[in-house]
Amino acid sequence: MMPLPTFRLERPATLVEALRCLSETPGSLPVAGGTDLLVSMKHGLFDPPVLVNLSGIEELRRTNLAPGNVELGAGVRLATLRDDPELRRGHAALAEAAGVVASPLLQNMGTLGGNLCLDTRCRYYNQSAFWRNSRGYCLKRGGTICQAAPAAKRCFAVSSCDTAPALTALGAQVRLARWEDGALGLRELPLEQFYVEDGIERVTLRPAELVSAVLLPVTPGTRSGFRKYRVRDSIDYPLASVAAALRVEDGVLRGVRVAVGALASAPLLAVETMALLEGQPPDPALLAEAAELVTKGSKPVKNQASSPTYRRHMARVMCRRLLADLVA
Amino acid sequence: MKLLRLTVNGDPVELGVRDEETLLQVLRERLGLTGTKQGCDLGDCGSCTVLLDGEPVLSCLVLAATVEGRSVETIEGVAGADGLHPVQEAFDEVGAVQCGFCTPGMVLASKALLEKDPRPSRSEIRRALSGNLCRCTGYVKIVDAVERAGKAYPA
Amino acid sequence: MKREPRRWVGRPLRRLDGATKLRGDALFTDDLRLPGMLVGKMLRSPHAHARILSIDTANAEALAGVKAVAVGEEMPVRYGILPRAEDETALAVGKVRYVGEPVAAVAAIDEATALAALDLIDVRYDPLPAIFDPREAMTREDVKIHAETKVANIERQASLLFGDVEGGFAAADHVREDTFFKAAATHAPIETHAALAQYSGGKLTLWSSTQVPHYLHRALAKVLELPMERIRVIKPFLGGGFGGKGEPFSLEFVASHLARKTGRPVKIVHTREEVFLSHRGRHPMHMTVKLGVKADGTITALHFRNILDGGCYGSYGLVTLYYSGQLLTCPYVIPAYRFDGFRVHTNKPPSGAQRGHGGVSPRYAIDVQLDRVAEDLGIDPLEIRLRNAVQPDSVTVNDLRITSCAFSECLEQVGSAISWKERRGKLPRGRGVGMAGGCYLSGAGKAIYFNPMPHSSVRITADRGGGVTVFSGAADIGQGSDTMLAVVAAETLGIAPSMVTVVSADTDTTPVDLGTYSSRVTFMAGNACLEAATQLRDVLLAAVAEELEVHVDTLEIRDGVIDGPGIDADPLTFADAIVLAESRGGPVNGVGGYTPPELGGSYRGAGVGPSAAYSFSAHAAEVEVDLETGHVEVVRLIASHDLGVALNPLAAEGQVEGGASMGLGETLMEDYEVLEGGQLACPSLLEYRIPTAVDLPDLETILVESVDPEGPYGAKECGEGSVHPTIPAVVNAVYDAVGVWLHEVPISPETILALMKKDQTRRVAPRGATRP
Repeated sequence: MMPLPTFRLERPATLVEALRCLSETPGSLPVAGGTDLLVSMKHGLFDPPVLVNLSGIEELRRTNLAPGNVELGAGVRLATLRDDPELRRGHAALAEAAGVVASPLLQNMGTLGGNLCLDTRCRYYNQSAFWRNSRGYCLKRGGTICQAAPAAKRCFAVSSCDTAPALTALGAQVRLARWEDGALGLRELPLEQFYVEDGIERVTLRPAELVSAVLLPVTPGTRSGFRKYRVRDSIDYPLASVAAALRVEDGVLRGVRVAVGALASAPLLAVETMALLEGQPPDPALLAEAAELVTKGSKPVKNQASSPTYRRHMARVMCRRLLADLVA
Repeated sequence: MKLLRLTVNGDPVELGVRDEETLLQVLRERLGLTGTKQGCDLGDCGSCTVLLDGEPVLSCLVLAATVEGRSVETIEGVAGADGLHPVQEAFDEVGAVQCGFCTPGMVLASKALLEKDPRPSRSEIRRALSGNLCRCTGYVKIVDAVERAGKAYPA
Repeated sequence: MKREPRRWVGRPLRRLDGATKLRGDALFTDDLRLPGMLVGKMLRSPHAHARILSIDTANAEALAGVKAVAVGEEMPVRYGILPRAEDETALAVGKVRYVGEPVAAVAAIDEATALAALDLIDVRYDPLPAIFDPREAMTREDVKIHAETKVANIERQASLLFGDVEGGFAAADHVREDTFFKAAATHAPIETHAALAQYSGGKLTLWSSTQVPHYLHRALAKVLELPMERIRVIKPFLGGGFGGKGEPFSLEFVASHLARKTGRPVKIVHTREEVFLSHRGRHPMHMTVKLGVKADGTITALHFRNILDGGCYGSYGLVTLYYSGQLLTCPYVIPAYRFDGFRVHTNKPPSGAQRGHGGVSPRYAIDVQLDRVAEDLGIDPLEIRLRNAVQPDSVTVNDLRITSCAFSECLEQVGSAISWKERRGKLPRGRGVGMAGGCYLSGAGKAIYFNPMPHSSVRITADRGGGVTVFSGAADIGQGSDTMLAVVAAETLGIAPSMVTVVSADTDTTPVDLGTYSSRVTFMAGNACLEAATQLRDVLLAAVAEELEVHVDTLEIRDGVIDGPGIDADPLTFADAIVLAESRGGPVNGVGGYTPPELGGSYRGAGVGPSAAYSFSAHAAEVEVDLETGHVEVVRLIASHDLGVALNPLAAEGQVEGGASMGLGETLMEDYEVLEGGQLACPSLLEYRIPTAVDLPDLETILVESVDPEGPYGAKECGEGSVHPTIPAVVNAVYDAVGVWLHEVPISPETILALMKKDQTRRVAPRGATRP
């Protein structure tokens, strides 16, 4: 076996208790499904003094699917999102994305918050301590150069969560909770402001701050969907993904939002695609033209299976097909 | 260290576990339930699948101390005194077992599926088992077995 | 040939060990626990090529809980599965040759302590230049991975010449030469390697996940410098091998050595990454195929050149090299043949034997080239295969003796199942069908080391309750050989398989069997079992005949009851017969052995390739190619296999399905890639992608029976030949779908897209183009 490093496990029953635990010991980390963090800890990427287990916190699992105001607790299992018929109707992109994260077993374990906070991934980073020692350490952990792009000054590790592009397209906000000056502090951010396009920094979480919930706008008539490219149709992380949401009103497209995943260190909003489509009739040629723009602004490097060129190509094909499906 | 109380295959179990111990370690090394296999220890293969309150999970990525008060079913708990469970029976009958290393996880994932939906399509079976790797069978006979076992469940 | 009706042979039978495995009761090596057991761990080289300057173990030894530390000098004796390539040591001595080579080991009270101790071992290295491309290694005299190689890093060159090759090409109406590359693949059994050693009372017992207990037994004696009688090797339940557990591994010596050093049992279990580092998988092959044919498609000559990337040690590589050449004279008749091959060392984990050993990648090249030639000439691919198909009772140009053979029927069966005539070349763009053939040996004609003894031996004892126990050294690695032995014994003795217990793969209690490799067990251990059971039956019937005063030939055993004249109202059971026989002369048993006949030619290399029987196979694939993404979905895969006789159709189908699924994985996704620097690109089951349940179609199996004259009840192999046709069948189907030929495997959607683009800019060739 690959034993975990030693740590103290805290098992708080409330969010406030969890935040207190996190703030008391610097370097402590939250764990929910464990499907990302525990693997990385077995690889020696993290050695926190304290792990704060969030799975016993009832309030993080609360969901409110009331019309006009959808609130999903960060502790909701991905399998729950996948199987929820209401969500599949109103926010299909999220249900579809949750249903293609890793494998069904991992969907039973992983949570929405955990998926949103998934560490960025890279062939030179997600390896055992032995491997990284042999290869040489990378910018993201322990080294001074990027092993994938040695001339670069930044880390290109890939945002590999599936729910993030889906929620970005759906216009979601995250609610962040922290313990500050003896009180609970909450803030809400649009998802695109939550992420930082940098493989190391990756999210704007402050120390001892957690994602506690996701807020979803409900706009009647919105159709959405998610497409993912991976080599195997299960287990694998995405090599590229696309999410889109739109309405067709009076023969024209409204509220178009398109996001791409796994082509950068954050999900990217495809603003040019969106701008081209907004207010226009859903003409196939226009959809195709818009899909061509979806990878503008993403410059992946070779740090995964499949070439960067092909991953971008796949994003464009998936985008066109997804848009066509949504307006059909 | 934490004092852990849980139910394993219907029996109450109480033991002290280190904070960093996984459920897989506790099952195999402390409780001697070696039917749960370790194939990668990283959540990639599905050999360590157990049912946690009826849901299949990967015990190599579950911290033992987090399952306090919950119910764990391992392969040792599936067959009754009077013989194999219908899922096991079907696996045996159609030749879905070869080396047997993925088998415990496959059986548990299949059982969990059939308890929710006893008449899954072949593609639904494949999807439900897609986190459990098998290198011997090419999956054909495993899918056959699950289809067959479903018929033993009330529709 | 049709086979005789049998009582048990040919009936779908549950495995002997099915329920045990299904209940979770089956004990695999890692499930074993002994009192006082220590955990062993190995320190591995971070360098691809380096001299070891020094190893300081003092700090590790001083750590509380550490019981012993071992380094290479303690076990300097070299070993290797092939006597002519004994080039490994249990732990590196003087030099490391790949990233991950074991350098030192510890035994400690638990895993955490053992791992902490590894960190305290200080190894000083002097890094050397490393080479990762065999084509470069062939000429780099300045970098020697092994001092012993004469020319650069070429471990062995093999050249074979049969018939008039130049004349064959001159007589051809069409000659086509192309290059092919098949990447490395690895076995990826779900159980990782594990070994548990106990040294007590001057005797070593090793429980190990090995396919070859006997070869391991010999190697342990040699390396540990212990007499063989002081060593017992036991193979517990084994979680898949596919060749990956088919030779002695470092952990087996190290666990044994540490057990001897500490006086306590030591267990070493590989992490998944260590399994990838141990490797011994499919050699990467750089292949050139020159094929000459007459206008009607009849093959006139073949020249095959192959550069095998052997990684840094010998392993099975010399055999792989010869197999890669020798197996190409079948299943198509090649009247003139030339082979030039090189096995070359590189600074990678050793390549070795993987399911379908040696022949899988060349089969891809040849069967695609055959389609290319057929396309050039406007001949249907099924037609060209039937025209060249090898026939029963023939001899190949390189002296392989073909006896039973239903290759043409295999082709016809898959052709009919996929509606070949109606669909090949006639499906809408993006959809296509393809076909390929294959053959494989039922066990190698020669043992790995020279010896005059049987390759398989079986002893059967009978107990007074009417049960029998089969003792066999054969290693059931999941393929079901224990159940096969029970079927053969039951059929021969006229009793139910449920009356048969099988004890196998324990060097103290079971007679020698060479092990599970080269698809030999059904044929060889099955024949040994048949002979042993026959002998036992004869002993029993002789006793009954004497008692009843009838001629022995008039008696038979049917369903556990003795039948014959003089037996009327009071039935005589099998158990009664045992009691009768035993009361005449002590315990009754039967023994049997199997040695393959002398086969093959007398040229250098003639020892690799001959077999007492060959299986034949044909696969037909149907694919859907996404024209925009290049993604290939294998919609159907139909696998026919001439296995002589299916002793147990359930097990046989399972073998064919398993073989084809490995072939599909290798075609579509599996690539054991080594990065520049020597690190594995994909050392996990996340990144080294073997197919999941949603990545494969419902494989369809057609068992074809040719009733082999020498196989047990007519049976021959089915576990390895079933990988051979898969890759070319899919590649040929992709051509039918989108008109591009893939000369590299695994196939990549990106390559398909690029080739399709190139093809469109050139011209769109009409279907069924005539010869140029």
